[in-house]
Amino acid sequence: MARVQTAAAGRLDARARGRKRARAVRDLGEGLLYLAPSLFLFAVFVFIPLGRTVYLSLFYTSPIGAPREFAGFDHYVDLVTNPAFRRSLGTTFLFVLYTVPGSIVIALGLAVLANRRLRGINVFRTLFSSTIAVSLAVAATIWALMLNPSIGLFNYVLSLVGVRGPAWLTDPTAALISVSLVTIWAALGFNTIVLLAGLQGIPEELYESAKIDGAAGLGIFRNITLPMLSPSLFFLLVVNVIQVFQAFTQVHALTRGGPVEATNVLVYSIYLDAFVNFQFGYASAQALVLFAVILTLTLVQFRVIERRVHYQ
Amino acid sequence: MTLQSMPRRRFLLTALATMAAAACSPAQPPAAPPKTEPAKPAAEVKPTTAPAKPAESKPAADAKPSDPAKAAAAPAQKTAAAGKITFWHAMSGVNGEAVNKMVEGFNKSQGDIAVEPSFQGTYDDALAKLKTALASNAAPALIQVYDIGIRFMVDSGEIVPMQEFIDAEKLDMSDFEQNVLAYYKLDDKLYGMPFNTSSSILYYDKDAFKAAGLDSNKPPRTFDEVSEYAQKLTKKSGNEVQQYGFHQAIYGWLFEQYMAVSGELYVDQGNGRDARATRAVYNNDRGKAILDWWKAGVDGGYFGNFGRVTNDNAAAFDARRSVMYCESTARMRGHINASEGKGELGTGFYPRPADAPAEGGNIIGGASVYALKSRSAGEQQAAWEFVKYSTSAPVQAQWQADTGYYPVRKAAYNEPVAKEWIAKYPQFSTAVDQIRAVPLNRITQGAVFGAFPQARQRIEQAIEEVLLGQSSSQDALNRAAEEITTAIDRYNRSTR
Repeated sequence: MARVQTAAAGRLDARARGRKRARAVRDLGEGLLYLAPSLFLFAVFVFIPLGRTVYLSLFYTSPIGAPREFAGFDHYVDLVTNPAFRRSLGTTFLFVLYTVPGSIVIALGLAVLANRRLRGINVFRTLFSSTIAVSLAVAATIWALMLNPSIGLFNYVLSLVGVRGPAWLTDPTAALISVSLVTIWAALGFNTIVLLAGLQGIPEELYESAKIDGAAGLGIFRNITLPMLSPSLFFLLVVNVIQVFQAFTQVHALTRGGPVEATNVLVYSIYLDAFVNFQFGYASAQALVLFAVILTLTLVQFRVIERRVHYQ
Repeated sequence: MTLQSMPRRRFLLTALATMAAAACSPAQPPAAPPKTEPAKPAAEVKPTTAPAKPAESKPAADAKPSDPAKAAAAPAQKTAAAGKITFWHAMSGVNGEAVNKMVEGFNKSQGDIAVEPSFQGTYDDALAKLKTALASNAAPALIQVYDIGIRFMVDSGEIVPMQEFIDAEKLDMSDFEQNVLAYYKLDDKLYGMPFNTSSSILYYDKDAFKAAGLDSNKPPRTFDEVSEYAQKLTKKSGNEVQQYGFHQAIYGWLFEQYMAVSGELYVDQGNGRDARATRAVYNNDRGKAILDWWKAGVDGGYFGNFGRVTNDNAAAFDARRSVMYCESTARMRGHINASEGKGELGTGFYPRPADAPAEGGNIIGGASVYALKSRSAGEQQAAWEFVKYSTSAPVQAQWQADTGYYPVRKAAYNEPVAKEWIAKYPQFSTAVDQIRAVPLNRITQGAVFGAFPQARQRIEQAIEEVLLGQSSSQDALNRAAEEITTAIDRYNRSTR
């Protein structure tokens, strides 16, 4: 009897488990169905190209990019031993350093100003965020005219006040700074919008109670505004770093990686190797290194910096 | 971190990881792949213009596709040349307008074929886009590719050599400029049809010469004379240079030209024309002399340095920040226009070393057009009809007047428009005289090798290293040559 009971219970159990599993499978199927469109897009635009890049990085390719001869890890060995690649990596880090902190801090200043309740403030808000609406290719071309070594507006204006401007695009040191300036300018619009939205999400009560407690000015900014804004700031940091690592348009329009490789950031070097030098395998290997660098940096940011982010 | 923040954090992390991944695929071109019009059957294309209007057509009798005798002679014409084809080109500014004008003339001259010109950016951009387009079967019927792209175009196996069309029609090529055809021939087979042909010359401001007490009809001929003139032409206020005597873009093509006028090969194996090139050979005394001369001028403050970008350098001359400069004849029309009211434009032969050997001379520059194999036979034939039209004497004469590129047909000089133009702008005869004076040999035919675009970039970097004082001329050339030799080797292996 007892045995029958346990057997029955076991059967019941098994049936319940079976039902559970069936439901799990059904749920998974349903979930995948909902995800299908985005999975499809990701597969087509991300996973397949990524897989193809890994594959190409192991081959020597024909001039039009068809794999010809297995290269093993030759391209990766080339990367490690090639001083030009190390220089390019160094330039890229320097470029990130020149642009990301600057664009976030300036955008923070603009957002704080634009957060005032004044008449006509919307005009300023629009102005501050307007760079998001300008195509980077167009903007970079206009900047190239202003920084032009022979007929540039910048040096003309400087010469009016008796200052001899640098050779913005033809001097190796100045060139990276020029490209950085354009990058900061271009990022300002998006950064200001995100920070302004963040500022407007901070509840008024917090400021009021801080004032009641006797805090003022910088104290409020440091102890209320910054912590409450930290999720937005963190988001911008991560996104900006990734974007700057991928900078191409401004380099192409302003300097083409020169002079003497001074602005040959990693993505531009990948472009040159793939589309000018026909080295698709070597370019793919570089792209994967870039991927690894960005992924590592992003993970580090999440591990280290995110601890100081205050989520509501 | 609170529990609530978990999903948000996860989301952000995943989103960013995918963004990073998406960014790292070099298989994607930097710009969106250009769209290509799908070929349409002839019936759909402009039915209203089907009967050709002879009154409107250009006087291009020899290029008319409607000649039935010719059509029957060509076996490739079993498929009628008809439809809409795309033509990728890299001509901007006045030259771009001239392309549109030429295409419009062709479309009006007959009713079966509609050519659609599509501007693709610089030569490099156009070639980069072609590479991706080939992979996705979106290539145009006809593409303009710069001179140095010939090795790549041949090795790609994606083109129909122009020679095949010529042979099929037994077209008489004797009226073509043989110096120009020679560049685009490998093993005596013509691959690309010369479309726009230029050479490098010296531009100068005659008024500035007079102001400096120089003979405005005697431009400098040698490196030393250029330096000497440039010192006299340089104007300074205090330490600041108001007007440089001379400048030129940091442009690999100009260095290649200097090597050729110095009587030197660029790569081995007869500039890659006797057999595939294996080595870059420009790191010799002649190469060094060119860079030393250039650097001495920049260091002395009488040569300006306006960087790599050709447009910036042209602007420097137009604004007379510098009053002599070396550049392609392709810029002639632009400089003629810009010089109005600024100072009379003079032109002179490209500078050379005083002891240059007789076998040296300028290599032609510019670009040719290639027909692509992946398009249908009808489209290929349509492309050929346009190519024939574009090289007819009247069209070439007009093209020269609109741009400053050489006509590829000798008969073009007999056209009224060409005569009128030379009379109006005598500066151009310098260019013609110069190219006609060149002896035809391996040096002046120009180099052919697969890694040429890379070599051009690399020599530009070497010039920058020297001008900015980071390296001696010899070291910079040695390093560049060594790297390009490796690149040539790698290229050769990849095509085996």
